[in-house]
Order: sequence, then C-alpha cells, then structure tokens
Amino acid sequence: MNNDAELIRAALDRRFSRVAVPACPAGARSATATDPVNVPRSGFSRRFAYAAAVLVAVGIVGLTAQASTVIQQSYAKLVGPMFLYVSSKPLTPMIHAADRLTIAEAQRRMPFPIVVPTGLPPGTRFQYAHVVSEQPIPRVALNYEAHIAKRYYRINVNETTVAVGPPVAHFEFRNAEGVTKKSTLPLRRWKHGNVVMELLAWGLPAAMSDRIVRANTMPSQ
Amino acid sequence: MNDVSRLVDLASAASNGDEGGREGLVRILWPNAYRIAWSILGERGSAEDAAQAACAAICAKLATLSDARAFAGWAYRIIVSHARDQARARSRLRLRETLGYDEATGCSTRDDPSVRLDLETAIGRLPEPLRLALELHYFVGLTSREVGTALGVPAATVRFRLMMARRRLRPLLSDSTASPATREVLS
Repeated sequence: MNNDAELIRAALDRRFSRVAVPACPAGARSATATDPVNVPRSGFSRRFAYAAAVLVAVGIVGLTAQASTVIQQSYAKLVGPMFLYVSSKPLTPMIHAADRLTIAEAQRRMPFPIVVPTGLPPGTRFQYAHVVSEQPIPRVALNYEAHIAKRYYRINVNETTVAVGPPVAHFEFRNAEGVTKKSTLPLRRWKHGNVVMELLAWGLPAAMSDRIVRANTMPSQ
Repeated sequence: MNDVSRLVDLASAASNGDEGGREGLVRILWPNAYRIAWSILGERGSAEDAAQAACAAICAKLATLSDARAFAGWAYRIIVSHARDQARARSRLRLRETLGYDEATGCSTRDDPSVRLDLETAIGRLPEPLRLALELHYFVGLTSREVGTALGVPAATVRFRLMMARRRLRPLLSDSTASPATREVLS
C-alpha cells in the first residue's frame, strides 16, 4: 500500500510538473482590497422579457388549441342533431316509434279537427304525427319530409288552439358527455280558422315556406 | 510543498492581522491552488483566474475562520468552489476532457497514437471526484477529513473515493506497462 502511495505521489508530481505554475500575483492582501466587485445589473434583463413573451405566446397558443379542440368535439356532437332538418340522406324520425302516430290516431286524441296542410313542395311525404300535449293546451305536430334537389328537408307543422309566447322554438341538445347546447329557431305562425298553425322548416327555402303559409292561412270563423 | 502545518501557522498569524503572514500564506498556497484549479478546469487562463479569486477570497474571509487548525480544508474548499464555479460558468468541464493535460507543453496527447497510457495518464482520466480526492490527499497532503471539508463530502466518502481510485489504478500500480485490456478498463 505504501508503495502504491509512493507511485501515486510520483505520478501526481509528474502530472503537475507539466503544468507551468504562473508567478504568484503580487498586491495587497488586505480584506479591503479583495472585496468582490458587484457590478449593478441594469434593470430587468432583456432575456427574461423575451423568455416571458415566448412563454406567454406558447401558453396562449396551447390554450387556444386546447379550447378549439374541445369546441370542435362538442359542436360535432351537438350540431349533428340540428342537421336532422336538412340532410343529403333520408331523415330519421326524431321521436320513439311508440309515439309516432298516423293523423287518424292523433285526431282521436285532439279536441279540434287536425288540418292537413296543403301547398307542401312536390315529393313531400308524411312521416308521422306526434301528440305533444293534450291538456291543458292540446298540441299536435305533423312531420313531413320533402325531397328537393337531392336534399331532404324536415317540415314540422304544429297545430294548437292557443298561441303561447313568441313564435320561436326552443331546442336543447345534450351529447354523450353531458354537454348541452340550447338553440332557439324562428317559427312561422298563422291562423287556420280556430287552429293556430306553426311551421318549423329549418333550411327550407323561404319561398317554399311562404307558399305553405299562404296555402294554409284561413281567417278565423 | 506539502507543508500543511506551516500553512496553519501562517493562517493563525494572518488572522491576527499580520500582513506579512497574509502575504506568505498566499505565496505558499498559490502553486497548489493553481494546480487544483487547473485540474478542475483544464485550462491555464481559467485556472489562474480561479486561483487568484480563491486566494483573494481566502484573504478576505480569513477573519471568519474560527479555528486556524482547520485552515487547510477550509482554504481548499474555497479553491475548489471557485474553480467549479468558473467551470460551470464557462462550461469548460467537457472541454477539459477533450484537451488532455498537455496544454502546458503545447502538444496534444489525443493526436499522438503512440502515446503511452501510463499511471499519470490514468490519473488524468479518472472522474473528477476520484481525481480531486487523490490529488488533495496524496499531492497536497491533506487528511481525509480535510479533503472532505474541501470537497464538501464526509471523510468516509473521501476514503471510499480514494479506495475506488486506487482500485482503478491498481493494474498500473502493479505493472506500469498497461495492456490493451487495462486500457479498456481505465477508459
């Protein structure tokens, strides 16, 4: 072991003998002469400002990307039902099969005579009738499907005896994640005798909506 | 060169306000301070800067040293800290690995294929913790406790590092002509 120590010392001597030690610096050794010189920094470093700006920009971009993804995903699921009114494929019913009635079946539950709308676009077919409510205000909805220029349009004609509230329809959609979206769509409302009729045909050309309204309008008796 | 006791005497004199003792202290401390700084930094200019700064700091802080007997470990702690700060600031640690230690002679060992991997070279290739422990213990002459103070580690760790260093150098200690297999181990 002692021999090892000697060998190591000799090797270290050789190692450091290659290093030319510079002359010892001369000068005062007092404490006052060796105080560190503190160069005052000039305010806020520009590098920090740049780094902060980059961080903020990255954060904004990240949050925007995150938010846009969430919005896109939510709307993709929520806006889908809205397009049930206009589609390039045949429209699926919006209510359960058990609630889908014929006009005759719905008529048996309505105290007023159901008006079969006229003036519908050519190629329109009746889908089903839906008794929305019987008491206190009876309301029935007749659903039609129009096929115009390779597009399918849902035509919804509501009939009731009392007009309640403004002529708008409120919708609330909820996706699988529980995200809800509310929409308010304008209605066309008119009178056919004592029956108040409302038309909701979202996406249908305005001229066709006007024709349906004109064809079914009849002064009160 | 390894007169640690003389350093302690000078330190106690300097701490009592003796200007001559302070001057003598720096003159004795300077060569090894420069060598240790060079060992860490691997470059002459940076080592000189670090050693100068360390000597200045030692003089400035000498009044805060309560026990002059602990001067050696305390002083080398300052030297090592200054050298490491300098290395960190200038990112010279990697450079030292590539420079070799022939800067003083002006030639590069890496370019010379006929270079002989001897004990001296092997020490230069040891990891810094092992090499510094070896240098401070065997060259400067500090005890393991003082080396621990200088490096900021317990004395037991210093002894372990010395043992590891010796183990790595063992093939060369027994036979100064290293075989290719030994070179692999050491590299």
